[in-house]
Amino acid sequence: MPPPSPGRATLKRLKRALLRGTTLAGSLRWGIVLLFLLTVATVIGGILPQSPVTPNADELYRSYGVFWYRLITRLSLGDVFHSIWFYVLTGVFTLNLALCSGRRIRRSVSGLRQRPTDTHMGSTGGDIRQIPMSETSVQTVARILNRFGFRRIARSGEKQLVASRHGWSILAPDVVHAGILVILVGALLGVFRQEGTFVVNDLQIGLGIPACAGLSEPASTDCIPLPYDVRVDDFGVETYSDGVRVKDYWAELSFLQDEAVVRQGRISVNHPLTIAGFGFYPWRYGEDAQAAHVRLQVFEPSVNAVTSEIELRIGETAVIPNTQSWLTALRFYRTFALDPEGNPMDLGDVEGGYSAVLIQVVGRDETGEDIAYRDLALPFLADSAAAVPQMFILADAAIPAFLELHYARNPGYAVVCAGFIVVMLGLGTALYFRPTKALVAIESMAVRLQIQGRGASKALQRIAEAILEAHEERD
Amino acid sequence: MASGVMFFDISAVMYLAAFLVLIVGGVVRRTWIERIGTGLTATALVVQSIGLVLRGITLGGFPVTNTYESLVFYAWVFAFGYFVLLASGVLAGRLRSSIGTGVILGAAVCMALAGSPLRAPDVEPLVPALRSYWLALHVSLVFVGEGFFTAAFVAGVLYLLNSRRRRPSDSEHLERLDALAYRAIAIGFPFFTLGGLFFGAVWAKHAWGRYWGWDPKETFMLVTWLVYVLYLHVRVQRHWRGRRAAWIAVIGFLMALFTFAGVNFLIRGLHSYG
Repeated sequence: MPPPSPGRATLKRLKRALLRGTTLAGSLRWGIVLLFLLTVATVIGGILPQSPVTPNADELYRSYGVFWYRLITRLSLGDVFHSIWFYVLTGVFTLNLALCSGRRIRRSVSGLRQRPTDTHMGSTGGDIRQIPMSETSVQTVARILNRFGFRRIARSGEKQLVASRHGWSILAPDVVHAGILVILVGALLGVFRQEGTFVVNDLQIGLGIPACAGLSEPASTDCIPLPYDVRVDDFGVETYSDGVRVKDYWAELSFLQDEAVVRQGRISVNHPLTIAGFGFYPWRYGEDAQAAHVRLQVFEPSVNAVTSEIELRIGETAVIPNTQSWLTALRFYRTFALDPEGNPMDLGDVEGGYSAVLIQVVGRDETGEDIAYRDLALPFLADSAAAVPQMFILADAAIPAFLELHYARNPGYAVVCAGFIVVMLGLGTALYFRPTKALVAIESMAVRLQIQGRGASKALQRIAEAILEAHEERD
Repeated sequence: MASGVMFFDISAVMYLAAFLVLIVGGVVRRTWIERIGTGLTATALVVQSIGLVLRGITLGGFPVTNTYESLVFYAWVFAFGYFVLLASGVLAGRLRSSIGTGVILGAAVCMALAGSPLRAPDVEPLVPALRSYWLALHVSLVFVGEGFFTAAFVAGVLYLLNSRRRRPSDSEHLERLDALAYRAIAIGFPFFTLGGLFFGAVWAKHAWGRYWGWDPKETFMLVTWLVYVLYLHVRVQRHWRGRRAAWIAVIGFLMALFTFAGVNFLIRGLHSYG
């Protein structure tokens, strides 16, 4: 016989190595190791602050020292669930599950095709009862077993029967595995998700947010990847009877195509609206201080009187009446305070404080000199600003409410839900439909009934009664 | 307003009394004393149920909206789970006394924690995100799952304690503890998966627009689930029995406890509702 060619031998070796590799990659032992690693990784991600609240490099360095700083940054422990190694770990686990399921399912299906045997039953396993009676026929017992759901019945000797019930439930673990694989596929499809947020305040009600679906380069980031423009017709907040605590917030939305309304609807918390696969959700409700409408009084130190008023929004610029200067409202402080270094800061909604507006004045004074300065407009005349040509008093401020809306489309969501349903079917089957085996031996003066599996004792009792009943009827 | 608190206080005292009576009954091995303990537990459960119903009516929803209510409901699940196990016939002989004592201790501890001055018993109006029927489905099923995990934990701890003595007479008792832990986890796991992961994901999608966001509560719920997946695999496929399996059952419950309480107190997230 000629020796095998070197090429064939290499191919054989490769095939053997591949087989060994897939066996290992799909082994239960490896699966348990991976489950353990995934658990540890998830614990790390759960304990350490994760992106976007991860401390910055400087804070990390100061809080943890060099070693931990290097470890956290190199292993991306500040964003575990989006790190390469976590994706790899999940991928390897998916492969393990797929290979393991493939092997299991082949075994389960071939097990289903086999006729029931008395293997693993032994002579004492399960629940046993000896029913004393004169000889009965194998056919009668088979008929009774069939009535109790034992559909697969085989003879095991001349006067012996083996039957099985719920044999198909051996597929339950495979169904659970398949469901988990479907969930993982759904999670993977999540990379194609689209989501974003947009904010509307009282002053923007009725304005449309343009659609930019299909545009290769959207003209602006303030657009919705939808075939329709979106218009917020109204929004508001519902409070409990105390008028303070928020019960719900809502928005009325219109979807437009070529300026014609395609659909209208109301959204509130837990009641989103879905259009073209996108869900719209009210995300956050509050007051938009940086869109405040303010009224400023202009105080002329030279005449020691308020000479005019200016009304504008934060971010807008207006001419100071009777001057050659312009005023820009830069920032609104709901409750103004100075930090220890003397910089202005906003304490938010604090009772007893006062508001302020940071302004910038650019132009010429009455002598024709160029001027440019920043000042604070407070609800009263501040002493420190006496050197400037005009001083400003914050007379009034109207802060508009805002609603932040979130929109999202995730093609993996339906797949994940389908996966969960499959998992639940598998778990339910594993829990409530375990295979049951029955072994019946017809002896000369008795019938020996042995049942093994879920609900064995109950089944034994009822089948025994049925056999006796059938026997009495025959007599 | 603190609706139902009086009923909860009474039931807390009764759980404590039931626990002490069950301890005495277990030590002196008198069935009639154990029966008194079980009776006290049943009465406490009824009183607590009345309190929960009243609170639910006041709230206009399922009373699990803050840590106080969650602890009270958790205690209720412990006691209710104990009677489910009793009715199913799983708890017989020594198991009845030992598991019962452990589970009722869990209920008493939950009620004591709920009654601590740190937890306000007032009925707070629901925040917008919690005004959904998913609250009842999600939370109740998670607690049902965790109730069974508690029974598995108690069985696991008893196994670990008893197996150290290695008395031959204990072998049957140990086997029953091991089987009970497995059975409790096998029953609790589908509830936990359905309520915690599936319904939680669907509700998150409805409320926040994403079904999973690696929020600390979600993350640790996944960790707990993974630990029980590990338990079921090593128990069913690798035939791990005894101490090793008991240790995983104990770790799983500790993770579930951390998910419930630890995450609320230590790590802020979307699931922090006070």
